[in-house]
Parts: sequence; structure tokens; C-alpha cells
Amino acid sequence: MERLRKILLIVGIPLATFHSYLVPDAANFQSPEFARIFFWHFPCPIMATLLICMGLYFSMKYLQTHDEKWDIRSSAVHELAMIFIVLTMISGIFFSRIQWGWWWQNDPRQVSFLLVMVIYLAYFVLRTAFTDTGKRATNSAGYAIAAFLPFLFLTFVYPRLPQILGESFHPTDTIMKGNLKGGYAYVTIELMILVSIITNWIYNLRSRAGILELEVENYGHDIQNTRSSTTDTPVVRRISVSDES
Amino acid sequence: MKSNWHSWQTEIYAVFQKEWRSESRSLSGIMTTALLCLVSVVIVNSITWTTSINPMIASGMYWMILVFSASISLPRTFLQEEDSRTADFWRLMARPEAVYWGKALFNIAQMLLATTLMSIAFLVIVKVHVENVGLFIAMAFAGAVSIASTVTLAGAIASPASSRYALSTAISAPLLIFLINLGVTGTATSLGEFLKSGENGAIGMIAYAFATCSIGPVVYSKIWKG
Amino acid sequence: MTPPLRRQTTNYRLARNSEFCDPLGRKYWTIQGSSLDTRCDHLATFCDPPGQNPGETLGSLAPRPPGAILKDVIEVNGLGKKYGSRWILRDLTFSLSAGDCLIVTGKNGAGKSTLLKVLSGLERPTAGTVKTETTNYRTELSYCALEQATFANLTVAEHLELAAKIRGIETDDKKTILECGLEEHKDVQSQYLSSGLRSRLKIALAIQSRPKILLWDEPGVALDGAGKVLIERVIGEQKQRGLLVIATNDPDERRFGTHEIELA
Repeated sequence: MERLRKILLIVGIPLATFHSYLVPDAANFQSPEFARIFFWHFPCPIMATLLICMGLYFSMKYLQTHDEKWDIRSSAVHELAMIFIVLTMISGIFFSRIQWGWWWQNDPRQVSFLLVMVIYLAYFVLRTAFTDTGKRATNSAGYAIAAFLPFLFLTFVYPRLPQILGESFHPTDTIMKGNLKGGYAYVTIELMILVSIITNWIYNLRSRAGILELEVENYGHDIQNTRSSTTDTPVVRRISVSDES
Repeated sequence: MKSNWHSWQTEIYAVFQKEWRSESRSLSGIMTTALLCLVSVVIVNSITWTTSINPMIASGMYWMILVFSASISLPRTFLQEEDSRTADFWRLMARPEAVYWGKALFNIAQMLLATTLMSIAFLVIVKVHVENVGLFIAMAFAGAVSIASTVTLAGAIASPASSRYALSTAISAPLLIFLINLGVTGTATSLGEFLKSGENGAIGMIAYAFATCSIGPVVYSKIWKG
Repeated sequence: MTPPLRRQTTNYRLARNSEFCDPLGRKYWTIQGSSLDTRCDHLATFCDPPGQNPGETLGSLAPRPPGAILKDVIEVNGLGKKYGSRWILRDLTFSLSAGDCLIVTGKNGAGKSTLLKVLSGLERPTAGTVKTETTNYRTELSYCALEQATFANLTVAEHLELAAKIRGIETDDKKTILECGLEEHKDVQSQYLSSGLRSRLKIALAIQSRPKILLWDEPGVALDGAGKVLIERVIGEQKQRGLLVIATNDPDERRFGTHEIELA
């Protein structure tokens, strides 16, 4: 399975990149050849959104069970989500410079995603503020749940508000109304699949590393316990009393 | 045996009453908020006194003042408990939801008072004209409730951390940014700026306040013992 | 070595005395109380010498003495607590029944207060479990913590009123105030109380609900002679009502224990 995934990625990424150059240049763009940024830009916010939803689930599971593994998973998906948010911003900024004329257009979607980035940066700031692992996990899980509310609003509601809808450069009907056709649709799907595989791979590595780290720490504790003599283990003793009278 | 509802009421009121008693004897919280608001209004006035500011800018400044004075002063209710080592008093004796609601209601009351004072000072000193009084009041009310509920939750989350004061401001500000956006739209409309669906701001804020008040006690009950 | 006779003054009678013998016929610490003035005729050696009863835990010491309440009120199983990567408590297993008084000793940083915090539910254990018989921890479990503060702007009476309301119980606060010697100070804000009086206030808050389980961290700190008598009375009453866990290194307080654990 691991090998298959590696082969798929090694072969798939160059092929999909090559395929993206085979499709004709997009119409109605200032630099049609650079419109291909879309192929890499598009999967990033989708992956970020999915990962944040997974983060919410893992955080809820942690608060339910207080099993540190859920915290490791939650932290891993939030880290990955942040990477995809940054990639979305970077690819979006380049797209904006090339196609719309300036790096930052105050486009409502640009702004809302920037706010999402700030909200989840605060998640990492919060994590660094706790030395106790339990408190760190609990409070960051609480924040992840609280942050999901503005995230939902900024991602799904705000860009679709009537007063905002007309102000955005972002098209709203490309995917929903099936306007992405032919080669463009295929390349988009190919890259979406490849990015999902990469994400899954990195997530597995990251969470496994975290869980192993935890197990090593606990194993160290077990070793320490085994090595210590039995008299070091605290035991409750009854207090014996001698009767003088 | 008290009924469940009556017992909740008693507990929440007890927490609220404790906050009110403490605050009324020291007045430090409300004085800090009021001073922050007033100083901010004076700063805005000193920057713009020679020019007339348009409704959009005025509205933006109004919300910046509200949000930052709230995010600095309101989390005190939770943070100070950790500082003065009284947080365990609640953890040992109270239900988390009652503590959260009591403190949130106190923060909402404090925020409503601060917003009223700040709005009067802002309108008088900065000299902006309100076109739609009803919308302005609705925005101020909805803003006070939603900001207080969000900041209360952020304060509760940040309270066990070592750098809790800076952290609570750092984590409440991102959660409040889009509230500023909604608030600015609504208040600017009330000040005469023609914006499509300015009233949506008030509705959005009330919805957000409702959502925060709903999830706040649930989240707090899960995190309060670490 | 024969410890000296101790004379104690109490105004209560303890229910249990010579019934407490283990299968080897050794008696446990008991106070033969009579009202007001009691001569204690028992001499205590606080802890068996190391290695004498290695590995002996309460859970494995069945059968219990006749007359004792058999049901375990606290059961601790494989308890561990770590802060960061440092384990403060490791593999603690014991159980306590009504009438027991566990003395937790150990040098500074050994984890005495941490153990009490975990037992009280203030801290979550990293490993193992703590089971208590309580159905409502707010009223049936009290923790009188050394570092816990009181609300600076509230008076003594307001503290008790607040505690009763949030615990959802109706209590006779006047009696509690009287018991703890706070009647002269009941309308004084806690910020103006001396540290000894604040300790009494904490005791009043802890015993207000007449809990089944009382966890007490360094009871004697900041208390005067009358305060020590108060401690003795509270411990005696608590043993009748339920059980106690006391974290202390003070020999005067250790003599109240029926069991002892030394944390390293």
C-alpha cells in the first residue's frame, strides 16, 4: 500500500503537471498561460477546509476521551490545514498579481481566508502557552471548537452574503454549475486526487510520529518503574499502635 | 428538593451576584473599560478634529474601540480568578455551566454599560450624526452581547495559561475580527452610508452571539478542569 | 522506642476504638474519646519501619476490622500524574473506607498536593483511575487546599452564602461560623482577615456541606493553638462521617492517621 502510494505520487505528479500544459490556455485572462495556477490553488482551500473539519472531530473526541492520541491527531490536521491555508494565500496572491494587477485586491474571499489564517494561527499560539500536556490538549481542543464557528461563517456564509457576492473577483459558478469542462475538469480532478494522497500520507506520518513519541515517553516511564526497587514504590501502610495501658 | 430549573437559576445568580459584589466594591473592571473607551474616543477625536470623518471610517473606529477595550477588560472575570488562586473554589463547588453563565451574564451587563457610555461619548465628541437611531442601537446592543460572549469564552480558554492576559487578547481578537466586519457594515448604514443589507449586520451579530452563548458553556464544561 | 503519652482535649466522642485490630492483633490508631477532656491512652508508631510490610496496600489487606464500614469510599488504581515529561506520581494503588484517615507524607515536591488535587478531581490523572463513592462531588467531597485563596472583596458570611448557593444546599452557616471561631469576623472582607482566620474560613467552606470525603493540605499552617483544637475536632467528626486524606509532615497531625503513605 505504502509502495503503491509512492509510485502513484512519483508517476502521478509529473503526469498531471504535464497534462495541465496540454490543455489549451484559458480564455478571458490577462496571462492565460498562468491561469494554470488554478490547478494547484483550487485543491488547497478544499483540503484546508476538510482538515479543519477533521480537526473539529478530533478535538471533540479528545474532550470526550482525554486520550492524548486524539490531541496528536488534532494537532497534526491543524498543522496541515495551516500549510494548505498558507499555500492558498501564496498561490492566490500570485494569481491576483498576474491576473488582477496587484498582489492584494481586498477580494472578500482573500480577506476571509486571511482571517481564517489568523484564527488558526491563534490555535498554535495557544498551544505554545501551556507547559502541561493535558491542559494544552484540553484548551486547544476547546479553542478548535470555538474557532470553528467563525471559520464556518468566513468560509461558507460571508463570501455568499448578497452585499459581498458582487464585490468578489472569485467566480461562484465554475464548479457548482459545471462550467469547468473537458481537459480543465480532468486536470483539476487529477490534482485533487494527488493532493489528497499527499495530505493523507503526510498526516499519517505526522500522527504516527506523534503517537510513537508519546509511546516512547510512556515506555521510558515503564522502564524507570521496572528499574526502581519495590521499596521505592509508595504504598499505603496501616499505622500500628501499641497499647501501653 | 429544589427544581432543576430553580437550582440552575440560583447557582447562576450566585455567580453573577459574586461578580457584581466584587466589582461594586472595587469598581476596577468597569472603570478600566470606561477609561479605555473614553481615552480611545479622545484619541480618535484628536486625530480627526480638523476633518469631518465619513460614516464608514467613523463606524470602523467605533468598532475598533469597542472590540479592543472589551478584549482587554472583559476576560478579567476568568483570568483574575487564576491570578488570585480562587478558580479552584468554583471547580470544587460549582457546576461549570453555572459559572460560565454567571460570568458571561456579568460580562454582557458590563459590556452593555460600557457600550452605552462609549456610544454617547463617541456621538458627542466625534460629532457624527445618526441617521437611523433604531439600527444604531440594535447594532450597539447586538455588538455588546456578541463581543461579551466571545471574549468570555476566549478568557475561559486562555485562563489556565501562564501568559493569560496577552493570550486572551491574542485569541479573542481573531474570533472578533469578522464581528467588526459585520458591525462596521451595520453601524455605517445607521450613520448614513448607503450599503446594501446593512441591517444584516445586526442579524448576523445576534446569530453569532446566540451561537457563542450556546457552545460557550458546553466547551467550558469540557475544559475547565484541564 | 516508646513515644510519650499524649493528652488531648476534645469535646466529642469518637465512634470507633478498640475494634480496629488487624489479623495479627495489632491495633490501629484510635482515640478513646470522652466528652470535653480526654486522656488518650494509645501510643502510636506512625509508620511501620521500611521493609516490614513491603508492598502492603489497603486493597490487599482484607479482611477489614469488625465493625468497620466495608464499602470503599475511594479506590485508587495505578494512579500516575505527570507534568510535562516529569512523572510526579507513579503507580499508586490503594483504597480507603469510611473512618479511615490517610496521612500523605513526603519531602517538598514529592507530590503530596498533587495527589490531593487528583483525588479531588481538580487535576486529571495521566495514568490509572480514581473512583469515589460520591454521587455529587460538590457536596460530598471537600478539598481544603493550602494554596487556595478566598475572594478578597467578599465577607466571611458571603463566602459561605455563595458556597451554599452554588453547591445547591441549604446549610446552617451560623453554626459553621461558630464552629470555626469566625463569629466576630463574619462581616469582615477576606482581604482584611489574618492568614490564620483565612485558614479558618477555608475550613468552614470545606466542612459546610458535611462531606463524605475531606482532603486537607497542611491543615496546621498559619493556625494558632485554638486552631489546632479546631483541626482535631474537624478530623474527629470527619472520621465519623466519612474519611480524610491529609497531606502533612507535621508529627502532631500525623497521629490522627489510620494509614500512612510516604511519597518519594
